[in-house]
Amino acid sequence: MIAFCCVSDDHEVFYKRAAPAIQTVIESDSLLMRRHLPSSLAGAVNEMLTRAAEHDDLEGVVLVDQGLDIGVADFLPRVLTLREEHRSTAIFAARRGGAAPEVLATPALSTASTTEAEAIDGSLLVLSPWAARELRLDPRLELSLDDCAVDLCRQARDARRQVAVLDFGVAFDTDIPTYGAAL
Amino acid sequence: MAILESSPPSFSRPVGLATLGCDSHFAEPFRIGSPHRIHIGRDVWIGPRAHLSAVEEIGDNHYEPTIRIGDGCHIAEDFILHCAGEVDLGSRVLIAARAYVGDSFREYENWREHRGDTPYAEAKPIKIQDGAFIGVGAAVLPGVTIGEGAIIAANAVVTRTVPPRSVALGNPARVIRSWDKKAGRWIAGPAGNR
Repeated sequence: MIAFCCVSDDHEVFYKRAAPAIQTVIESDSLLMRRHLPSSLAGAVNEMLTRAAEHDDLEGVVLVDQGLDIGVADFLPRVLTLREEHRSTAIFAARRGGAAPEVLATPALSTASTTEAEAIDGSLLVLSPWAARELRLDPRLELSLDDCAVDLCRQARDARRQVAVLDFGVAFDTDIPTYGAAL
Repeated sequence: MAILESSPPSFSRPVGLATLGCDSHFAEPFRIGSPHRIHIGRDVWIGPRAHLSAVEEIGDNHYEPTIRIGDGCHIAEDFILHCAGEVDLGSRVLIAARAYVGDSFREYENWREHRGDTPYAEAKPIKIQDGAFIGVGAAVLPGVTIGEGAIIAANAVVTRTVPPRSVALGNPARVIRSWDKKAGRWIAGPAGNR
């Protein structure tokens, strides 16, 4: 089972981008969670990770920005393939680059394109079940989504787990604010 | 058992709820107000034409609603749930067609012409505990707790708390039977009458 988690501060952005994208890739047994304008972003992420980790059949947690469009229908099979092939990797992230809107996709996934990284931004993270169970953020800190991603990556690497970026097949429209930009 | 339907409802998994658990589905069409205020557990089935309304604001009045529907709840068609405070359905609650659950009502303390922006009175939390059954057309009103395994008869109007493992009917609903655990059978009236 894959859990999808999103923190939003703008209904319009969420329903324009992340919601339809998630809708196209979820499966019947997916767990969907959204926290709108939480008092603490870190606290909301922690709470969603905890709820996802309660599921014995958890295969991964997808933490997605409200402005992100997952552009490939076979997203979940890709995630599961990656999980199978990279057991020691705790966090996968979509590769970011190019002009706005940033199209990060290459249509065909090649595991050879997976690149180990120190840290990544927070547009789209796929956390392994281990990461969902073990990694938590400090809820006292006022973190942006990118800050959260960096901190999760740091913790994973401190625990000698890998962090990788790869071509996931997602688009991020930089004209649309990420979480917290409007606050 | 074979079921014959003219057009079987299609099911969907709406994105944007605070939580939508594994294997939970809404039959279409449905209407959901403030979905980010609504938590749905796993293996929940909600029948067609459901209207789940978490009311965040009416005019200048703001509310902090939370709706929780627990694991394994099954809700039949035309269910209406209005929430301006807290409504909590436990696990495996079974709700028959055309039931209504509402934790508030339009304010009437001072006479006024009722309009769309007439505010809600103070919401009083509703709890429907594990394994309860709500009959066809029943209404559950503000501040009510329906105990574990209780049975609410068709068209009952529940204005007061119903104890666990009892049967309530009528308008206003009254308890007519209670389960005697020791004897293993129903007895007449509320449990306190034994």
